[in-house]
Amino acid sequence: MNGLFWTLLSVATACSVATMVGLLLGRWGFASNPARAIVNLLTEARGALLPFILAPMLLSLGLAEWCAIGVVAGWTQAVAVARWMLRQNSEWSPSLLGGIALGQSGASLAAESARARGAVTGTLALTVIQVVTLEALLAWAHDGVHVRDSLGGWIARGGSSSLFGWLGLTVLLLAVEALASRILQGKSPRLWSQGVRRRV
Amino acid sequence: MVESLRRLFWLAPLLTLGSGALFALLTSTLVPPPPGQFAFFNRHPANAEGEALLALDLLEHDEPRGSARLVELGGAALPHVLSRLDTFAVKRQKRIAHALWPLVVRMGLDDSTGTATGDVVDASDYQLIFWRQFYEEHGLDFRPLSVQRLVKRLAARDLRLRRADLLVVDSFALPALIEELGRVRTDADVERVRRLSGLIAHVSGRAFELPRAASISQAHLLATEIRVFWDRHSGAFSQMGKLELLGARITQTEFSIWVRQSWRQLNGVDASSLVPRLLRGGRVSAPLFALALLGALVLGPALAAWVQVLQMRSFGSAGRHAPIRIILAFGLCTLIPGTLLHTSGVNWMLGLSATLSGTLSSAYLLQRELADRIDWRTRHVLSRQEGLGRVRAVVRWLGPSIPTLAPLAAAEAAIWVTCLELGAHVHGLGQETIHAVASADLPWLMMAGLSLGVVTGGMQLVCDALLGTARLRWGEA
Repeated sequence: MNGLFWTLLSVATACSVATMVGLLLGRWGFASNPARAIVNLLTEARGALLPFILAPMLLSLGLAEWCAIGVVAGWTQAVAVARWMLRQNSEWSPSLLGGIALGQSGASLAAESARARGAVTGTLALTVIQVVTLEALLAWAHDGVHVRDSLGGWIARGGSSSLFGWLGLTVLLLAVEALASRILQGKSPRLWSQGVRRRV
Repeated sequence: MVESLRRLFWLAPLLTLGSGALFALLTSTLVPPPPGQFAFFNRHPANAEGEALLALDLLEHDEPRGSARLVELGGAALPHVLSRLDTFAVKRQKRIAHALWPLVVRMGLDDSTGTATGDVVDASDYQLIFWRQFYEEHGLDFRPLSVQRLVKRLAARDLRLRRADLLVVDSFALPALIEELGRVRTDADVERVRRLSGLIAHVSGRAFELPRAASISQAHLLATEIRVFWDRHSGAFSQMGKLELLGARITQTEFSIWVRQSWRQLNGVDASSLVPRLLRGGRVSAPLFALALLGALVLGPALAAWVQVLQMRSFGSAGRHAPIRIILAFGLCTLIPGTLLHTSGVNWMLGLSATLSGTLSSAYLLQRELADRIDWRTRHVLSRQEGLGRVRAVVRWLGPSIPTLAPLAAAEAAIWVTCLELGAHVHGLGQETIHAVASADLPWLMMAGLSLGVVTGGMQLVCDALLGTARLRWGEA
């Protein structure tokens, strides 16, 4: 139970970092070209600094394990969110064109449209898998106390035979997806509903 | 096209900046530089004159380290010490001459008279006179150009006389000797390394001798070992002007050493310890990485498209196919960690796990993307079309998402493969990288980080170009 708490803490940190930094980067990218270049650079850095290299770096700086895992997974997903936002399938919807015609910022409306993409919500939901995988990797490689007790550490130790763990993970993923959907798309938390977008 | 070219031209400076940033990150956290070494800037670089004066200071203060350091510096320190000898008091001169005395044997000079007297006072007088005469006779030998010529002749042919001439200048010849080691590819190169390494070992006091019947690879390894030693110790044996000393603030750093060593390894001058590890690990990891990417970029999108086409069979049927998303999420949560972390070492199982992980994660993401893009109006129109029409529409919507996904999927595939290797206890590149993190193996971490960064950057460049072309072609931009 204690281990699940650390995982939840890491997931919450990761999702917060991914949402805030990702949306900020994406919004900034709509406003300026250098920001787009920075997102491209960060995507390359995401490939170069794999989470299992970056997490021990943060740990060596004295960060708590749950925090290091959360920040690293969050940063990884934030870059993905920004990339998805900036490579939108740019159909110009009537509401978007209408908004621009009325004098609203094109970048702001485009960013709002981009953040409502399903891929952005999906990326945030996949943060759960990233966190658990990272916990498992660190539990193998570093054997930290919190990491060992976390959900990822538990799976790495062979706790996969219990259906409870998998169901818990699925519920966590779907909950994050529903929450992200609610915040970013203004949709009903009912996952199977197509819902109604709030503004776009 | 212009955008792609512009980004291509930026790759080289970005790579330089990126390697600096990665090095800074690693040395400030995981791999701190050894004591006395600096990552990027050395405020007090070593040079032969500075080191010689430092050793003289130590000697003046009766520190035993002083005489040991003078002997270690050897010929490189002699021009600076002997030229200043007359400026010191006689007692100090004698002490210096005595401290330098072990060099006489190393330099192959006759010391019989000095030791035969047995009288301490006479011996110290003799030693002082000896060094004064030595500097008068051989002072002109301590010039880089003449030493370089001697070394080149020795490298070309085995001449005992040349060897004796070089022994006289002792470690003053080290820079030229090491530069002359060169590439090792043929038997003639092996002979050259043998001649030079013998002298280097004698002068530096390190075990750098090459066995009689050494192979080319043995000679190559020894030449590499000598150059690696020289990368860290060259400063103390090098004669530097003011400008060179200024440059040494940058060149005598860990980053500069890493750049030099990497460059030599890339050019084949040095034997690389990374390449065999890379090849050994790559045999395991490359197929798994390729399968994970295949799953993420081909099978995953295909699965997502299939699910979406199924969902669009009739207008308003989204609710009936709702469990698909939950099934995908459950599959993602059970199969990915389950197969990644608990796969046996059987090849096909590993391959299947890698493919499944890539497929499921990208199918989930793309299905989520498609489900939100296709609103009720589109669904209404497409539900009235033939099957093929629906497929074409879905593929057209899905297509542009794949180039966006590709560079992200590459990084994730690397993580999946590492999990697989650790779970199945298979020795691949991922496991090697985890060990490198634990053992602070800087060259490996730099190589892994930079090569993955280049792969991601290259994929991003190609994919963005593809995306631009697709938009132009399909009129979406």
